[in-house]
Amino acid sequence: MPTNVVMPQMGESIFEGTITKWLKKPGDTVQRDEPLFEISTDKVDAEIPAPASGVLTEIKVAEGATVEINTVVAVIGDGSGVFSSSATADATAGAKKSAVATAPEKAKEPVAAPAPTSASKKGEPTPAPADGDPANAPRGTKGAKTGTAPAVSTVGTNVVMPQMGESIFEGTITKWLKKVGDTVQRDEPLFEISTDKVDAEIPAPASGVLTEIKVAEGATVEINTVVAVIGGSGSGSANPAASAPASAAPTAAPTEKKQTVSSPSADAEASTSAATGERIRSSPLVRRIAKDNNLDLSKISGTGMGGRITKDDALGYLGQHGKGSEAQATTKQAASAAPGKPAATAPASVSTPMLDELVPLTKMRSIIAQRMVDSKHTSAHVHSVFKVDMTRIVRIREKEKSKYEQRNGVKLTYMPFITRAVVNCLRKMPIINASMEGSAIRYHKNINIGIAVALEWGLIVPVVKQAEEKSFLGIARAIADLAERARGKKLKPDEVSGGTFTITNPGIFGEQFGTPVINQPESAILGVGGMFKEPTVMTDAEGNDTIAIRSMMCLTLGFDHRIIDGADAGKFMAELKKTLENWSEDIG
Amino acid sequence: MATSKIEAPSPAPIESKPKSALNPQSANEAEATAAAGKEASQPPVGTNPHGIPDWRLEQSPFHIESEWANGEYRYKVTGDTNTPVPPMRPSKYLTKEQSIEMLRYMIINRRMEATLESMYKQSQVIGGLYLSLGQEACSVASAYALDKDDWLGPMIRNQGSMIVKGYQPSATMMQYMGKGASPTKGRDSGSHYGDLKKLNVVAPISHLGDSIGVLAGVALGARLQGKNIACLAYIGDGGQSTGPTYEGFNFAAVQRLGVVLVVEHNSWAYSTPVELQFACKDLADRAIGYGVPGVIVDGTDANQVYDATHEAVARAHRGEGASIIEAKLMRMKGHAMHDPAQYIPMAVKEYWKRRDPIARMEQYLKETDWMNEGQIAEMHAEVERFIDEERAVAEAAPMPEPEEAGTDVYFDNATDIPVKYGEVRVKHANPNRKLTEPSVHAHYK
Amino acid sequence: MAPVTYLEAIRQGIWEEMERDSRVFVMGEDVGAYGGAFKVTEGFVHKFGMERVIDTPISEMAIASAAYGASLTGLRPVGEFQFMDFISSAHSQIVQMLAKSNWRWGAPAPLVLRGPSGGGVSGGPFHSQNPEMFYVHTPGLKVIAPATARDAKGLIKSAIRDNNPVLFFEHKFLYRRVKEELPEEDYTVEIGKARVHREGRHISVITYASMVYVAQEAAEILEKEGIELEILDLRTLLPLDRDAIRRTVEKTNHVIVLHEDTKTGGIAGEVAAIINEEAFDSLDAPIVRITSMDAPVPFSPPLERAFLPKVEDVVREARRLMKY
Repeated sequence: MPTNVVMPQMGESIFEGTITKWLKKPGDTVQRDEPLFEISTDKVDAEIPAPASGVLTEIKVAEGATVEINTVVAVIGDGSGVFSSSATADATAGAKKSAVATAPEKAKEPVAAPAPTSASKKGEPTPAPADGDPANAPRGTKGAKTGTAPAVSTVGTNVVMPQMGESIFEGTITKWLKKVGDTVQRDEPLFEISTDKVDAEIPAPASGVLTEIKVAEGATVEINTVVAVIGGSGSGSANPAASAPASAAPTAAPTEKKQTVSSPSADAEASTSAATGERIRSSPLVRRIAKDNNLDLSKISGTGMGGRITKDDALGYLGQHGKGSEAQATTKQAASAAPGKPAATAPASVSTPMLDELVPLTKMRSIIAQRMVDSKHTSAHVHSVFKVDMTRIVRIREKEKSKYEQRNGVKLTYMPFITRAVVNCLRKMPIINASMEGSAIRYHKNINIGIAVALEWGLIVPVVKQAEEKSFLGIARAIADLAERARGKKLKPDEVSGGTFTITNPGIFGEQFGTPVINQPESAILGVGGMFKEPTVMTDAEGNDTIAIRSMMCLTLGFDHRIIDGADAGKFMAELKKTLENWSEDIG
Repeated sequence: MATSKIEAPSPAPIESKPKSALNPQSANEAEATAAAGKEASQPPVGTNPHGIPDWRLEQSPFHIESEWANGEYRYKVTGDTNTPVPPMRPSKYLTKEQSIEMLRYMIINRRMEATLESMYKQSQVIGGLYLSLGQEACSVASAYALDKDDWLGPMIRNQGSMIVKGYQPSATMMQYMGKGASPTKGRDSGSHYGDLKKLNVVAPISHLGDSIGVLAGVALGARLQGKNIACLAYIGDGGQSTGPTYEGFNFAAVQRLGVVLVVEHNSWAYSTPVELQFACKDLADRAIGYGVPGVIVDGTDANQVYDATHEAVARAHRGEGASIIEAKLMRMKGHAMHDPAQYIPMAVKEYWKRRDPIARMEQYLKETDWMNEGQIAEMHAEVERFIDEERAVAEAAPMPEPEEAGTDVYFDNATDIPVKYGEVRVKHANPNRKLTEPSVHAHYK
Repeated sequence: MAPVTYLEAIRQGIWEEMERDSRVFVMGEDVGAYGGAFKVTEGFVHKFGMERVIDTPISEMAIASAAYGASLTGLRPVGEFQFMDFISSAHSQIVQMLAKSNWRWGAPAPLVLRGPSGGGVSGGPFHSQNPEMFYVHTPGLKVIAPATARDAKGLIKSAIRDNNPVLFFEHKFLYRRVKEELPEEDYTVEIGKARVHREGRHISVITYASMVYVAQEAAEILEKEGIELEILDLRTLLPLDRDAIRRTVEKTNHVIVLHEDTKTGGIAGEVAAIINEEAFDSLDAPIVRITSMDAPVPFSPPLERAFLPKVEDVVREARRLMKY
């Protein structure tokens, strides 16, 4: 029965210690309480005695290393076998002992086996506790992996809500790409999620049969919540009976959630007047009276301060009008409950919205809404429109595009021209590539160009990082790659943040020009208008004017007048126009 | 007033006149005779400049001062730290068997703490660990002087006293391990436990001196019930600085309650030397201010500690009131395990290391031919086995159930709390008197 | 039987308990021959003897410590603090030692520490305080603050009979101002139970000690305007009577919590939290706190009057609540 040797806590405030010397080496026999190693902490140096008699089988932390208290620094075996063989044979026993005797050890060792599974629900024994807290999981689950206990084979792999960025603590499952009973391969897309930062397709962590979906589409759960189970007891038999009740669970869960949102219809009515959108002033008691008697508070006039409905008002109304009808209440409940349904499946059903009914915002929609309004409240928006003659670039593109795609594997569009030109101009005009921070300006070292990508379900702005370091081809590739992955929901959180300037291209729909909203905390955004052939006055070197048909495009710079003045914006745009109209760079 | 015998201040540091302020004239006849017989062979007892009897066979040959030297603040030793270790003072009261039993308790005390130190470093002991290395004679011999009905008010380093009073070492171990089977069910740590029903131990708290008044109250309660008991309280050279120490002990002195206050002068209050703790030379001088007898003993000499406590306890049993015993000794470890006590000058550590109380007791028992080397070795081996068993008991004990955290905040009112010693007795009372109207003259209208 | 003052009621209560139970004894400063600063124990030493009526040195620490020690031997000491302001000198003994005693080591401490608290008598900052909340915050103690003579007697008897440490905050302003006839038989009042002092339909005034009378005066004024106050006298502050608080809020739906103690950290905050937990949807208006100001108790009468809650405060807040 191996015993773990841990770094002791030498004083209440001490949380780590340094091993200064090992007094034994692996293979040595040690007696309990015999000095085993020396440590040094902030408060004291000490010789640490062995916790048990046996053979020192392993030293896990070398001399000179500093580790947290309770870290396992060595293992003392019982000396019956040597090293690895005894470890395997004793795995189960080791697990038992650790649960009893080394409580403070917590999960210093990685917990190898996933903790809770659906197996426990079906009454089969599992070695791990059901709460899924790795700190509570027996350390010896490592031993369980060796396959001695029959229960182990029924343990499935938990699929969890991933953390898509450090500050993200929850995510919404927008779509399950597999159903219970399906076989999935590791890394095969399993479900789609939407978080504050990014939408993504999440690959399966293991191969096997999807035995359980625990969180239904539309539901938002904290990160690391188990949302599904692959394999486990269900997988062995591929038993449809086993999967049927499991698949029933997710449908039950969102129903419950919807009810908590919408069922207190009286409350909802009470606190929000449908007509005015204003909160009706009442009190906890009044709302309870309304709920108990199916009263519509918007029909009661309040006599309290500021028109507040008092208890007497509510009781007076009740005395005059009696209780509200059940039917009335039911209708209201149904009406307010209804939006719950599209809410759950909104991302999948944008094309067929429920007409004339409230459809809650999707996560992405609400974030866009928030950010756009915030931006308008933050920056002093000014827009400057320049008309650019793109004929030269059109010709280059027409000439090069098929060869270019063959050569480089990427389509030649106008975006890399514009982006590349923007990067060159930003380099010359750092104020356009800056952010306002409090009462200071930060001029960004890097030029990170956000490219707005329209999606069926909204809009996302992946960022071409360090664009100043990239060649034309590099930029072209980056844009193509980001756009494709944005549509495939495969962007990583850090690919949608950190921009210093954004380009948005709604011109593809035929607009002349727009007035784009700055993507905070950036200070400027370039809107690309549609390209139109126009009769244009051309002046040659001798000063002779002629009218020619040219491919013209409006570019709009939206800029924050707090830090960028009109002159700077004009200079930048003039430079941009000049670069594009006189394109001379090799496009690779 | 208390009947203390305060000698007039004497200019001579040591007076060669055998006497004991704690040995009263009204002592039990048989004991007095026996003691008198032994007293003949006793080395003389001196007094300090204020007339407090000093039983020690050596005066401290050095003292510690703080000084500023080479741009650093440090503690400096002045005097000779290499003086020879004196012999132990023969006990006036202890028999051979008692002496041997006391040695065993001291070894148990030390062995248990050594085991706790190991367990602390093996992360089995939770929180802080406060050791009493070098103080075993003081804890054990003082508690050994108590009768069964007497009470103990230990402090954090008096594990030895707890063992003498009847606790198993596993109790202390489980306390330190936070076990559910510990005397406080895992609710409090270390020596913070006590027993009301059998062992008569008041559980200490971390606030120094707060126990002293409580033990005075225990003695008061017993006296109301017709019994004079002794209540042994400890305070350190640091703890005696607190107000509760004065307030509690003054109450005992005024009420002539049998509180025996052992001032464990272990030289260091955490890291602060006594020079920064009090301005008088001997803490036993405080006895003069309280109006109780005081005595100074060598805290590493179990015989001196026992005899002084024995006499103070006898005074308490006779209803003559409180006493102070100052035991001079040394805390050989830091305040707790995190404290390596590097502030203590090495020479001082070495001086006290040579005055190890267990080594001195063993030497004494060999010199009196009460034990030989082999018997002592066998005693150590036996104690080691015993402590190993106790450790196994403590290790096997379960941790507390989480629900226990919030139970027992109140004691239920359905259970009757019995009196400890019997009916309350009053000498002068007027039971026929009726309650009259109170006078109107009072603080504020 | 003639009406009896609040002070006399306490005196009778202790006297009767000492007659009934020889384990009960009193100790404190000047409690013996002098009979106590407020004469609560006048005559006791002659009746019960100096062993059971003990004059102590001027040390609240010693009184609390020795009372606790004596309780460990099974006795039931009643310690008197001349003014409850001085309880701070015994704070560590009360909070650290005896409050935790039963929980830590199974040692019940059946004792009472009592004394006068409260202002309105120009006692100044050290003879007028309401220090009860320091102890309401201490698990293991029971804290009592009666308002009437009848309750004072019934509760001091219950406190003496209780197996736990009880802090008994008497109100010195009420000592001789409140008089009522008491039952002739031996009666007690249960600890932990509030009492409806006055019934009413519109607003609950939850209060204790001297403020019960402030609420009562306000109720008499408001009655003429058709506003009925229900006055709930908490009587015991630890443990609080959650049920009684819930019931009165369910009845009136409007709450004023009134106390003489200062506002921040006063019991009003705790009562408001209990209402939130137990009766949130019975509220028709926010909970109102009326307390003394967050300042030490001043000495000079105009200052003390400004400091203490007044009848006008209650009347004003009640009218506002009814309009809310």
